[in-house]
Amino acid sequence: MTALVWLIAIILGLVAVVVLVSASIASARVQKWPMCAVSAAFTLALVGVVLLSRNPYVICAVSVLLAPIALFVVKKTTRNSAQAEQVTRLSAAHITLMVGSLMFLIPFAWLISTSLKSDDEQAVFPPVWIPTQQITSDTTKTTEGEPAPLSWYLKDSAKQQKVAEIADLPSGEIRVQPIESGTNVKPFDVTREQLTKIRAVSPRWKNYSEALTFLPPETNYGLTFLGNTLFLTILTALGTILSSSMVAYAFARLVWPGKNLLFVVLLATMMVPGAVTMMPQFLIFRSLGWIDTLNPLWVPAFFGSAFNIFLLRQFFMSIPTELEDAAKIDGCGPFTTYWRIMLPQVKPALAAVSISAVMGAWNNFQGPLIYLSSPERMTLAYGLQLYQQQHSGDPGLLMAASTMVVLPIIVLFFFTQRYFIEGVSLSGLGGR
Amino acid sequence: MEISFCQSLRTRALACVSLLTALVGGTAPSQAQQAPKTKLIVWGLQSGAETAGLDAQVAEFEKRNPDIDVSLLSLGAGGMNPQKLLTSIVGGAPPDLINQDRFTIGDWASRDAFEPLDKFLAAEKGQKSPIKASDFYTAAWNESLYKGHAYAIPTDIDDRVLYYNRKVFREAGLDPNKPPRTWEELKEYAKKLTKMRKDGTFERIGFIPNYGNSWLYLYSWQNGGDFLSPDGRKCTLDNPQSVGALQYMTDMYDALGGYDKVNIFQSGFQGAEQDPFFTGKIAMVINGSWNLGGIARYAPDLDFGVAPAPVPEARLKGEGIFKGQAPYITWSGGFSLAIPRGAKHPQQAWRFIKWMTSVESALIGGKAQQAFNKAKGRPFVFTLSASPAVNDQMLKSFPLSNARLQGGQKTVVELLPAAKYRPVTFIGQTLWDAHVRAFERACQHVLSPKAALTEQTNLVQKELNRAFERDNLPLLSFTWPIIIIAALSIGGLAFGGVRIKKQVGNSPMARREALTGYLMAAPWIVGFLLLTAGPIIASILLAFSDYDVLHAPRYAGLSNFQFLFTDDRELIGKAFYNAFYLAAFGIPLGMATGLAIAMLLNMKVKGMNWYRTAFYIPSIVPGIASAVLWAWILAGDPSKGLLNALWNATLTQWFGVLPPGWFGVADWAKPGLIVQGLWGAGGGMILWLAGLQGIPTTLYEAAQIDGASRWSQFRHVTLPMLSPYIFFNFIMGTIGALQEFDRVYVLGGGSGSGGPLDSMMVPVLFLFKNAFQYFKMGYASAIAWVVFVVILALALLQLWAQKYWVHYETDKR
Repeated sequence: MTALVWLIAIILGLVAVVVLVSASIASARVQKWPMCAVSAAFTLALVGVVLLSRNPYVICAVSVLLAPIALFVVKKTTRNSAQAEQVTRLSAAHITLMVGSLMFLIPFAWLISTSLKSDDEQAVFPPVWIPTQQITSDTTKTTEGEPAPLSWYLKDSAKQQKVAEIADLPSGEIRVQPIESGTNVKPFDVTREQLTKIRAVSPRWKNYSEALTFLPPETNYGLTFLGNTLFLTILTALGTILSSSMVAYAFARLVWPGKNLLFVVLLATMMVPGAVTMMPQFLIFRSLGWIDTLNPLWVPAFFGSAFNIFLLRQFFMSIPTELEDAAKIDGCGPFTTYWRIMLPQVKPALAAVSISAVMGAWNNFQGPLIYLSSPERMTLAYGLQLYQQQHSGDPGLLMAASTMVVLPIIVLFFFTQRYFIEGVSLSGLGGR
Repeated sequence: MEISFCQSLRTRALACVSLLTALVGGTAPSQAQQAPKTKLIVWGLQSGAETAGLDAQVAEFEKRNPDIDVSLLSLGAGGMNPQKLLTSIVGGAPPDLINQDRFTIGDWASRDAFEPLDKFLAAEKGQKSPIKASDFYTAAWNESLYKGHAYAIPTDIDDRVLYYNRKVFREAGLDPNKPPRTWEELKEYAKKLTKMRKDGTFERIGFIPNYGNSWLYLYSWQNGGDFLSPDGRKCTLDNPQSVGALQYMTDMYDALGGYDKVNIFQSGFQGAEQDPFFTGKIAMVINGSWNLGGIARYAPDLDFGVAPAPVPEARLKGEGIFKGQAPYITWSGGFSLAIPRGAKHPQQAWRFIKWMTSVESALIGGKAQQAFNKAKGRPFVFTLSASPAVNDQMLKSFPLSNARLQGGQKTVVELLPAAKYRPVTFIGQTLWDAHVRAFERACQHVLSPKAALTEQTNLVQKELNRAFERDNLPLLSFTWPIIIIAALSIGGLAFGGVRIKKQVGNSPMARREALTGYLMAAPWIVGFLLLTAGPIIASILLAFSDYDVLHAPRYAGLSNFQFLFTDDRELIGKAFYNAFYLAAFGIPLGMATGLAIAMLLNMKVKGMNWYRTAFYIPSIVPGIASAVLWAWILAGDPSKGLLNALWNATLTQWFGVLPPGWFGVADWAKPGLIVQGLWGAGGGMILWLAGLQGIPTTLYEAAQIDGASRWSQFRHVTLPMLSPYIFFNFIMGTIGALQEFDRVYVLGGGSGSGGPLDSMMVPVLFLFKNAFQYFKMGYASAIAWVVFVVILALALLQLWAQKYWVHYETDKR
């Protein structure tokens, strides 16, 4: 329960701060200094209360009090200055948008940052954003022939000596070789605590290639996952568009007995949760011998999807019948009318359907989870989940793998932004 | 012109169809030519960066058997992933070998999922170095038997001992050469070794009853309790000795400050070098024999000791029920190699088993691993083998220079011959889950130890009874349903045929149009019959049957529903509660976020495109990737989790509020899910933008003229005009929330556990577990129908309620 109260307190507090700050900015811009002073004072008061009292109820109360008072004051003294009100609102909008969009993008930044850090930077507090790595010497080598990493060795509690770590000993100590120009000092042994690694900003790109080496060899460093996912996506999108549009046209424009009854049945099937049919479908595919193949994941797409059929039917019905009459006069049969005339008319809806089909197939997880087990047939989503099960202790590798799974969709988004946006508003589904 | 187009269209269509059939038939990428080598697929033995020993053993096997190619990397399939194994066995494509945790062998053997190895063992007689039962420790061998037949050959073994930090002992004034030997001493020492900070948090804790690897099983056995009757028909989890053991664990937690407090401290524990035993955060721990390897690798300088786990004083003295029994008890587990039913190369699989359990291969593997470890500067502690001969040889061939490690290794080996093992039963996994649940409830004082154990015993007993009664149930005969359905369809078709004739009549044009209509709608009709209608009917049948996929279904009447609403009602209730919680908080918050962003963007601020992209992109990230990322961001440890690092730096410093454990703690798991969901809520803004832009500005102008404030305009113009969208989102959101699966599967721990204390158990996950992990397809179908009824009820409720608050511009009737 306290969690909830704290959450409310934080939200109210933030809102109040934004309101107060934008009131101050706005009043400054229209040069109504007394009001600006008042708003600024309120902001400081709120911040002070938040810091000094430790009570979420107090924070809630103060936020709820101060913000409206500030707004009221602003309104009163700028009643004749519509511009001030406008500026207040726009400042608030700008601040909120900037802060909000940064907050939404931070997880991405953290994703990339984690994927480029080496293991010893992953679990530190405060968190490291810019990845660094221990630098290595150009001249000195370890006993295995690798470039030796460099550290500071604290000798006699004041003098720092630059040393190269040349070997890890079985006792846990480290053999180091001092790097000093001109002297030829023998290596000696120290413990890890006596050394401080010398670091430089350096992203660990190796995480990406290493992540791929932990995959089974028959997956060609993950390319098989990508290939399978692409295969499924393309076929699913193709199947969905072709079959759903054809069936939708049949429901929309053709007259055949039983059409209305079957349409009601179609709508009813949308209500049935996938869980009900999950097991019998599994049994059907098993009797076909399709377990551990990709077939169960794309063949059903060629039978049409109820939601898309419904959507496209509505679109077909909104096209004027004159077009079809003209086609009929010109001698087109129903199928030709559908293929050459009607389909081009509903391109926006088709774009929406294909985008949602692509997204669905690319991100499909439950299907592969149930039907696939050999690595050479797995998809990106399922492969990533199994990877996480095995490597949750290796965040660098795991985040590198996640980035590689996320990247294609983001690239696709940038190329087809328009269709995404249109598609979502047309189909009425958002952010799923 | 038209004819040639149609002809070309037809040929194109034919080409498409043939392409599709080719795809369906030959989807397996690159059919390999018939290779002379047999490919032996092994699941559960994962090769990796550190497994030099395993790789050497496999390489040597391939050298001696040039006709076999061993494939080890299965990316997490099999092994501890029972669902994958079952699917592959049922689907007819199992691996040749599975390295399976021994205590689940009973589960699988009872379902005929593994091949019995009798004929292989019989063929061994007369061979040189045959595999026989006496080669292995009793605990290991007996755990792989089911009804007297061997279904797996043990490979490794482990047992549990007390590790204690001698340096910390000295600091606390205790004799480092005298570890605690009785339960009472253990409690005393634990209290003495615990050090608290001024703010009341732990600096060092003496002992945690269930940290490490002991489980209630150990304490129970030490106290003389047992979990299953010898004939396997009665669950005896609540016997007085086990109750006493659980009471002891609970008392220990309370003496140290309570389970919750200890758990918070425990949640900050890390692994590897930062293991709390190595860093002195915990003074004594009962852990498995594998811990010696960990010490060797990460803390070879540690001054520690190894002793058998402390026992009740009466046992040590040999009094009462302990007369004649060994003073010290441990229990062992481990892995074994089994051959799934339907494996393609059982003979080669048996050769692999023989090799992997031989002394020779152990020595080869040991040498390779020792060399690898030496190059990394670590000592080599060999994994205990299930065969005493191998262990003796390994102790001789790989002595440790570190006296403490060598002494520890000897102790763990000595305890093996008398080790106990978990009861072999077909409900092995269920029994384990039940005992864990009882432990959690008792220690958190949800129930008393006796009540908790009794509760779980009853549940397990019901499972046992059902299973034994299963064979008495009649087989589900499909004849009646088929007859009924056939009759209905024929009747329906006849009826339809008559009506069609009437409607279409004799007009050739109408007939042609009707035919085309059917043809064009055929894909959906066929799909509906095959993949929807058929499965729905089958699902109804399954809901009234008992079906575990490997045997024929049996008719079980209403017992599935009965079980669901009586014994399992807590779990299903929890599942629905969780789903409703997520819906109740997640949907409004998500909608509000999307709407807020849309309204801000609607103000036509500069840089709108940039903002729109920034808010939208998180919603197109694949759900799995998002879950993986947020599991890391919401890690409970502030040095790992970004959010908790921020929390630590701000709220903890200022208000002393400790960061929550998010997905690791029951109370914060669902809020964690909601936070993760909000990240993707920006996607809804597109819809809201479309809706907002559809509101005519005239309405706003009229409102302004009437003197409405901004807030009033929002309430009385914007919201009502958006109400159709809000309604749509509510319905879709509720239906979606009740069908959540992907992210709770990943975030709950990746093998479908429901999160801590089942806090992330949702209906579809519960269903999935029952269908694909507990092998109860009939029961799962019953659950599916209950979910459907709930969804339907909610949707109808919302449809009925819409007339009260949803405003459609068009309903001016």
